[in-house]
Amino acid sequence: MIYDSVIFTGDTTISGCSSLDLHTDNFLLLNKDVAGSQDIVYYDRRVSLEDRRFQLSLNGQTLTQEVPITGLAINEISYQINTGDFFIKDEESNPIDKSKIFFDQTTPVNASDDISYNLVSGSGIIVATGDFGQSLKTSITNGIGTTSIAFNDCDYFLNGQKVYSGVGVGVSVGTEANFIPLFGGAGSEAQNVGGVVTTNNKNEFKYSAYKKRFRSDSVTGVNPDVFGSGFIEKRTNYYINGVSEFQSNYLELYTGVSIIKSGVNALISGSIEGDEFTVKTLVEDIIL
Amino acid sequence: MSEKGLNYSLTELLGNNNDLLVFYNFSGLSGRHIGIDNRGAGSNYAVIENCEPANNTGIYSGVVVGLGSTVQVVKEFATGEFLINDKANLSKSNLQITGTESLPYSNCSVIMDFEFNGEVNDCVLFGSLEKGSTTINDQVITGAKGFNFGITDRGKLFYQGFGKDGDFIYTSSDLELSKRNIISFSLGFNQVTMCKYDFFNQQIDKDDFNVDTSYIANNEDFYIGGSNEYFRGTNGEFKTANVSLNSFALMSGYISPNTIFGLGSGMIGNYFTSSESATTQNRISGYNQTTVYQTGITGYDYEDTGSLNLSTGRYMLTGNFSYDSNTNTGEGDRYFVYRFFDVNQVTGFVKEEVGFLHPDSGYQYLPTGDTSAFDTLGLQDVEGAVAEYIEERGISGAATVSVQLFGSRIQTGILDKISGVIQEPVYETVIDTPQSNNSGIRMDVSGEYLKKDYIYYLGDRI
Repeated sequence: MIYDSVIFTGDTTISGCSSLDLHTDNFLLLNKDVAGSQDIVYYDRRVSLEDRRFQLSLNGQTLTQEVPITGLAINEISYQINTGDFFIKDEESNPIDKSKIFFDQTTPVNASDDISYNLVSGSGIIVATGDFGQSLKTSITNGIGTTSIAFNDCDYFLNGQKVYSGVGVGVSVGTEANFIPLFGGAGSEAQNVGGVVTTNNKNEFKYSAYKKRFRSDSVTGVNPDVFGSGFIEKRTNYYINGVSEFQSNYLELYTGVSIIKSGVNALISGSIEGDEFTVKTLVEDIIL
Repeated sequence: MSEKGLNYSLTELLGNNNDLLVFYNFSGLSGRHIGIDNRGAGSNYAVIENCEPANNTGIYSGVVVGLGSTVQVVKEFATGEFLINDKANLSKSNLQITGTESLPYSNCSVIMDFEFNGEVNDCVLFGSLEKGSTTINDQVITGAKGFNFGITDRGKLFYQGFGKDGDFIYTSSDLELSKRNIISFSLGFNQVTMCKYDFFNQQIDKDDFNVDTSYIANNEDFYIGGSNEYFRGTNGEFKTANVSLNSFALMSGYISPNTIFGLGSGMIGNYFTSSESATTQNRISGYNQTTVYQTGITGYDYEDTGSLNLSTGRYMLTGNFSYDSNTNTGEGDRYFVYRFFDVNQVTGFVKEEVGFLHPDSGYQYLPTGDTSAFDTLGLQDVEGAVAEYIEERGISGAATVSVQLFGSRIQTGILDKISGVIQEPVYETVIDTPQSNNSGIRMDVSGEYLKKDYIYYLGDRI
């Protein structure tokens, strides 16, 4: 099992942790729940940022947002996405549609799904498919730039599952600006970097990269718990084997809390009825 | 952390400090005056005085009940062990608030800024619960005073009270504490509210529970760090809390969490004042208009340009001749010879035209025999100078008349015709931004201990 905690460390001061200047005003942007029913899903447009970029999790799988191509016809606007899994409409649409998340036809969504999302404005969402990762590098270069980003500056996803260096994703031509992320596995034309993509199945995979958010750290390992690194409460993401977990599946604590018992209700709700605990001694004379 | 900060927040949010009954700010206390409570010979206790901006700092002092001894010993204990790093270490001693029998137990609020010294253990943060029994008609009647507020082993806040149905404990399951916490406890209106304030996310985490506040009686013993009624000890001096207090405030009435959020920021933030100088700007307040008249010729005057002397009389010949010049005359040419004479004192003259004979020819003339005149007379082709005379003229009745001459001069000046109007703006200096004296709270204090540092995955344990 690979456990991965993404924690936001913030600044050393209180005000610095909610500072616009320090890019730490990212509270209430993570692990947000959608609203809706059946396959109609709405996000909270009030708190979404200007560019409305999401990292959306559908039952733990991280879906990729794409800005749609729009076409104008008589009395209607057509939308088209090519690689992404969902899109949202912008100001050109009606107020209801503007808060709605539109999934690709190949993305099954129904009422029983668990859907949450992070607002990742400014982090950049890069997606590519059809090779071993070379085109993802091209997209990163076009989207973010060549000199400002290294291999470790991005989080990588393979068909919505987060992958890690050596486990699902690797790199060639160094890890600095010239790096090329590769997802090849054994038998692939490309270098085997511990991935699963081969020549035969490469068209079945979709790679995405998200630029890591400012003042965030990823703690990845085989142990589920993370100790010692200070982080801001409610500003965390958690992955197990690359699958996003709900915030309710883990606790954010102080390391001094050492006693955690399962199956014990910490809440004693209401008072205890005195009569139920009255012990009466019944004295009876028994005549034998 | 500052008293001024809390005072600012009180003024901003509540208008005054009337409701602040107790405020202990332990920052800097180790260097300040420590009071003494003398409870008998060799039984002195250090006293933490109620601080401003509490409404009445003369009451509600806090007694450091952990050690009773001589004045010197208890002072050394207070400043050397109890007050460390600007905090009150409750693992060294509890603090007993004095004079609490008049506190409004059933309608009060508490704000605490504390941090764990290490591992989290159950404790009473502040408590006043005390149970008692009375036997009436062979029936044991149990009653209680006060309440306890503390932390469970799991790190959850709890409220322990005694109601009509007996003992009860409410535990807040939603609040997760950090190493350092700003929490509150509000009791009143049959409700107890426990809050933890998240200054990073600007959120209040809270739990509400219903209690029957009519069953909460006042108690004269109110301890910080312990209680007279707790399963680990039945004496308020028994230390239960391995925490350190940064500050503690007890207020009258049920204070809403939103208000306490502001008060809490005043307790932990830094109060600041700043003065901004007024800025001014020049603004056009109107215009001065000046009518401009045409200039031009307004007239003429005359000025003296000199004088002219005019001679009167008429010219006439005087009858005198005088030498004028010499003229070369060829021999044989005619010229006039003047001879003068005086008759009766009047000079007269005669003029005779003669031919010129050159004296150098010796007056010897020899005809050549030719037929021309010269040849006939024997004249030489030579010249000689002869004097010519002219007749003098004069003025008859001569006199001189001097005439004054004048010339005209243009006079220029302003005409009565308007050529235009000059409009000049008039400026006045006005205050653009008035001088301002600002004050407020800066949250530029360390937040490291307010963060979480432990992610605990439930999946493997549930």
